[in-house]
Amino acid sequence: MSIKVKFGLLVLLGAGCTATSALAVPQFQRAIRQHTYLPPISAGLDYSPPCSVCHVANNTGVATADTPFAVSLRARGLLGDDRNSIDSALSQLDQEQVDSDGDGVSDVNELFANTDPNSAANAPLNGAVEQSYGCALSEGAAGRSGAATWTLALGALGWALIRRRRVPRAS
Amino acid sequence: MPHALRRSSALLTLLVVLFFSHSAHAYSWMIRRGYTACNTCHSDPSGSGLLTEYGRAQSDELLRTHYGKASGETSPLAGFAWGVVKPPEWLLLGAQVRTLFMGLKIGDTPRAASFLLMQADAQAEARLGQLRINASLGAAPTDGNHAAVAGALISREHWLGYGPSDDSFLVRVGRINLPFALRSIEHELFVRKSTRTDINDTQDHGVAFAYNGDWLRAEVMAIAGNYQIAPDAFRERGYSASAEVTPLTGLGVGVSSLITHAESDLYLRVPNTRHAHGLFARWSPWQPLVLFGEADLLAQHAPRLHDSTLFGSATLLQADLEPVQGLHVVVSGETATKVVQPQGTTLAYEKGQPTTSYGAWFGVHWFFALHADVRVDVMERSVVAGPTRIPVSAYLAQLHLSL
Repeated sequence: MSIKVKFGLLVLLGAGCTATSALAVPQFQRAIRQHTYLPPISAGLDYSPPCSVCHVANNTGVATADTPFAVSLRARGLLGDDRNSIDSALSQLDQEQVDSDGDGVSDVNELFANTDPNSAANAPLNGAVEQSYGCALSEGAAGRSGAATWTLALGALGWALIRRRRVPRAS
Repeated sequence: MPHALRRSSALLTLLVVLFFSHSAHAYSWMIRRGYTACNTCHSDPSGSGLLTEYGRAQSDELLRTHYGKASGETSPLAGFAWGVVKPPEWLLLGAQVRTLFMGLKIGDTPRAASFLLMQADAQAEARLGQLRINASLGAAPTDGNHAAVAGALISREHWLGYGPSDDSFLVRVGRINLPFALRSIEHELFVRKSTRTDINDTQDHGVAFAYNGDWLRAEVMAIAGNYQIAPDAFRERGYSASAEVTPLTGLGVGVSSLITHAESDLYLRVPNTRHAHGLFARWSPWQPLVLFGEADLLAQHAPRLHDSTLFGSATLLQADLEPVQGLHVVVSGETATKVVQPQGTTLAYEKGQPTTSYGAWFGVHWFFALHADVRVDVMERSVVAGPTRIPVSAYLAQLHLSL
């Protein structure tokens, strides 16, 4: 196999591996949960809302808090780098009985009812299966580090180059 | 080429791909120069991304501003890394970084400023006779990206292709940009977001067949799903297709169609079959001016959500004026009508609630040097959120550097 083919296959191999869970923003999840314990709301949530309640498709990258619920919060002062801003934004959301998905139930009430404030489909939030990101080749081995796979890919490249050096080339 | 040099080149490429961070180029306005096909300049037959050697030459001759009299010859600096690194003929290389400074105001809140690394990718393609091996690799600011390979490491595209040297057709298998309507770099446009067909991170794995003829270019893709998202229920499967004819010089007219199904829709989290079918056109009546139009009919059938199929739409009108080579003034207007917005058992519009979001963009885009351009945009939108509207305004300043 020529070095060109080896190179190409290694690039494909490298681009194809490892699975990882999305980075959560736990301080905001906690803040939503804590906020609901504050007056005037006393019952509190018995679960932590999933990241996807704010991040579309659980994509927690920068500037991705774009779900209808998150946009409603941002329109009421939620700032990505200010955890405290969620309290005032949630309070305002509750006072105004904002209904981001237009299904007739306010967002805060949806949180208490364990339904998604972003979708009239009302999929349950607690225990929701969240998307994870990374290559499916290692899907069955979630938790395997990406670094390990890349080390393997680089190792394979090194091995291929060394092996090629040892094999005399036909003149 | 000496064996050692070839080996070094391959190793260098891998290192570049691994440790540096491509732009998803997609300049449909090149139709003003008579370019209706995309594959003359791009390795992707439907446009965007990695440039061919010819594409690099055109980016010097036709894309950037020339100060004083143009020499008429392609600058040696147009090559990869300003010509410092000369990859072998069988290898295409590209690497790009795009940064964004954004001031965003949502509703009545104070404007919030942020700085984003939008893109930090490298892309390589090995052309081995009729076989092509293409992959991009880059870094995202954080984990949790639809194109993630591991953590913040992303690969938007990676595919194997087979096609003749005349590029009349190309069969590809791998992670591929969905062929659909206007391929635009503005991935936040309503038409791109609503159809989920941007070149940012909505690529899917599958098999695609592209044809490029004198007056027709077309690509159809069987979508197997995005295998960089798990579990399997979130993967959309179906097809996406787009075809454009050029009946006159400077005029392209096309149709697009997409149907996918996922057991758990990325947005609704219930089973959903999604349709997008539309028309698009691009027309350059006068070389400095290109007009674009796209209208897509959207439909969703989510039985858990509603008994019947719900319909919506997304539209775009855009004008690109290039008064001086390399300097573009872009004005866009757009709409998006939501497909799913039930109010109890009654659809929102029947309750008199807003269902259509509006947007207007004004931008200046300047390719001021080889491998470099800047862009400033102002965006104003009125976005439907539930039963209310939220005004959104943004100032965007981008710097884009490429190798």
